[in-house]
Amino acid sequence: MPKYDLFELVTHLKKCPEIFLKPSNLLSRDGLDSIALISDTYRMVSAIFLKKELNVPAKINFNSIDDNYWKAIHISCWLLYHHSFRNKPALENKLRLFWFEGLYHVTQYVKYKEWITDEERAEEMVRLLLLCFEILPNGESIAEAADKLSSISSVDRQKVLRQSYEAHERIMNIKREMAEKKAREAANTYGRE
Amino acid sequence: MYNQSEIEKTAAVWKSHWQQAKLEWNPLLRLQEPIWCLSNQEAQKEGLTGSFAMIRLTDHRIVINLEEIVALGISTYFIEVLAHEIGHHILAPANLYDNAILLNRIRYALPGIEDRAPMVSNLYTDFLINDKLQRINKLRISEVYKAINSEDNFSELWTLMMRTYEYLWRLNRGELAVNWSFHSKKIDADASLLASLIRSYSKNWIQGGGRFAVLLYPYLMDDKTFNDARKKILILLDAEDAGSGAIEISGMTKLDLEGYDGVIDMRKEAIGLKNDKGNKDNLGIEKSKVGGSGPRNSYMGPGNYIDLMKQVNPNADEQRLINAYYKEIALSHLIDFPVEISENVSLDLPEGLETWDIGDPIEELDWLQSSIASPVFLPGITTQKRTYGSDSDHNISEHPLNVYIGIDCSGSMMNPKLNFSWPVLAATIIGLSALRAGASVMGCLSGEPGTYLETEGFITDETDLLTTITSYLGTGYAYGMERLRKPFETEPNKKSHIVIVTDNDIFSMLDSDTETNQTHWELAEIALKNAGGHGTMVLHSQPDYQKDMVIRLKKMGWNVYYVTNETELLKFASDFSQQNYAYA
Repeated sequence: MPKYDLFELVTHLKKCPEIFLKPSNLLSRDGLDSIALISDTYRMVSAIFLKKELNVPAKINFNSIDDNYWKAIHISCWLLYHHSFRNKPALENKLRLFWFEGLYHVTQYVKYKEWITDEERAEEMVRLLLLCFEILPNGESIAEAADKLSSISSVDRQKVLRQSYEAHERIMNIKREMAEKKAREAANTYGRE
Repeated sequence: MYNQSEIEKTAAVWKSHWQQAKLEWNPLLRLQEPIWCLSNQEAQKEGLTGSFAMIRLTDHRIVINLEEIVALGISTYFIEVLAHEIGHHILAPANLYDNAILLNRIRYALPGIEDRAPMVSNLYTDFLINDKLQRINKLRISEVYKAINSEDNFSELWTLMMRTYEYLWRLNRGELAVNWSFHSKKIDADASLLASLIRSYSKNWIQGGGRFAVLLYPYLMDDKTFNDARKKILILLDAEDAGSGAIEISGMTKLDLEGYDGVIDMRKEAIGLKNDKGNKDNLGIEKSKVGGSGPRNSYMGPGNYIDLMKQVNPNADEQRLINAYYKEIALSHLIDFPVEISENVSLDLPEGLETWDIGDPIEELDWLQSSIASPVFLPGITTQKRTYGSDSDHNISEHPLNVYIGIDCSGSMMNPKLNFSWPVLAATIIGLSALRAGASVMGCLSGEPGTYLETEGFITDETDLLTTITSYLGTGYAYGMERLRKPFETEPNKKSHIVIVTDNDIFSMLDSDTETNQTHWELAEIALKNAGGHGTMVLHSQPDYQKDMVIRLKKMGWNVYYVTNETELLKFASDFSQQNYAYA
């Protein structure tokens, strides 16, 4: 049983080769063959090299996936090339959950390059993958792992930041209106004099 | 009071690790040993209250309160604490200028609560230093925080700080932010943004100051919450008064547009909304605050300047600051330093003899005259040398005329401490140019009937002059012509120019009843005659106003210079200085 060391996986992820950042061939003629990449990853994880069918949800239409999402999938394929995920047939079925549910929600808030340039986003992808695989990072309890993922979750963060930004904006508007009112009153005082 | 021997023992250990702490930054670092205070009283004398350490940028010192360190139980963290304090001298804020720039940028981001800028600046620089020491130097900074933290310390702000460190150093939740009652999703989101900011701006830290302050704004805006949080966080504030005692820091009057652009709300960036550089309304920053004052609208207002510099040095004298403000803006408009032109005069007329001494060049020894004086050569006694004089006697000397600067400081004029004053800038340019050329200057503010303020005659002291012309009266309606009596009722020893900066109301003053036989018109004429130089009345007025009176003034010999917009005073002052004081 390999130890899934979080920082080793983050380091591996951040070394993602440039080729994985190319667009999908479904969107660009010179792009990367995304379906082949996904298939290879399935084969590598399951260790069944003659496997032909892809385990993807029926409702998924590959043509509807946007560039940012495709690139996130490409990057995650690089992450899955790490030796600790090879020959793990038990994980094969969970890949679907990771790619088409977990990652899907996050890619709406994260630009693909951040997965490899931003330390925190890289950690988020690794943690998300481990969560989908029901694997605990080395040395962490269930609660710790859940809390750490929650504290860097882009989806949660977006919600909170939007709320706090809007609250801040409301306060600043009130302050500005009060200052303007004060200035008007001061102007009236001079007028009376 | 803690056991004195324990404190002394701690002092010895800390002193012995000073060199090692310096090595954390640079083996070639030269920095004086800290001032080791063995008691709170000693620390207080050095100005250290609230925290256990502090830095002073003015004399490059570190002050350590060992009694407090023993009390907090952090006496084993000598390298961490000392290296942190050194970091303030080496990394951030490092020097008075950068400290002032950072404060200014943070002030931009804290509209309405600018008084909190020094604390924010201190917390920001602490993050930069601590992150470097913990992650790169592998020091135990997190352990120091663990030792300092107690549940009572916590507030939302402290929790945000500690959560940010947890993000930065990948610590588990609650390792530093030990009081869980303050934990929230909002703090987590902000801490995560702060952590990424600290990493991103670790090198160009000045650029990140505005962003940092914007993120902290919601935690500081409520007075009561802020005061409570401040009391608790006081222990961390070791560089809040780092600039205390600083005299003048030049280069601070210019508007920092780059800093203004750096005031960006990272929350807005993170949720994908664009930060419009021109519109910072949502941050509460009004354009007028950075709209600029003075020439080309490129300077901050005097009020802002005083507030900023008072935060850099809380003991700064307001008058000195306002003097420095107008002087700095005037500097680029002053005449060049006068140069002395000396002719190559030949010294070839033999004039007489002097004793040649041992230290004199041997070629100067006049052997013939020495032999005539005595057949025995005794160096320094019988030896002679010849002296020579110049064959030219046309030694030209030019003496600049003095200048009298009278400024209308009546109710219609603005207070130069609160708003930028063009008349004061003009007076500063003329006055300093005259001083630079070697003339004396008399300055007079007058708002009459009412009060006036003048220098003690013609002076050469820049500070006295600036202190007079940057003051404010706000009385009466015009410049009082009576002020010309004292310097020019009789002919002064040295000729002088007269410059009076005023407006239309001067005509009412000229016509007003003097209750003596001499009218103000007569006084103006006599004063100009006795002064012996040019007399210029700078009128903030339309050129066709009171034509007859203007003609009468001109007949007396007064020049009348109209300005319809106060900004034209700058051109007048520059031209006047060039014409009258730039001999080179």
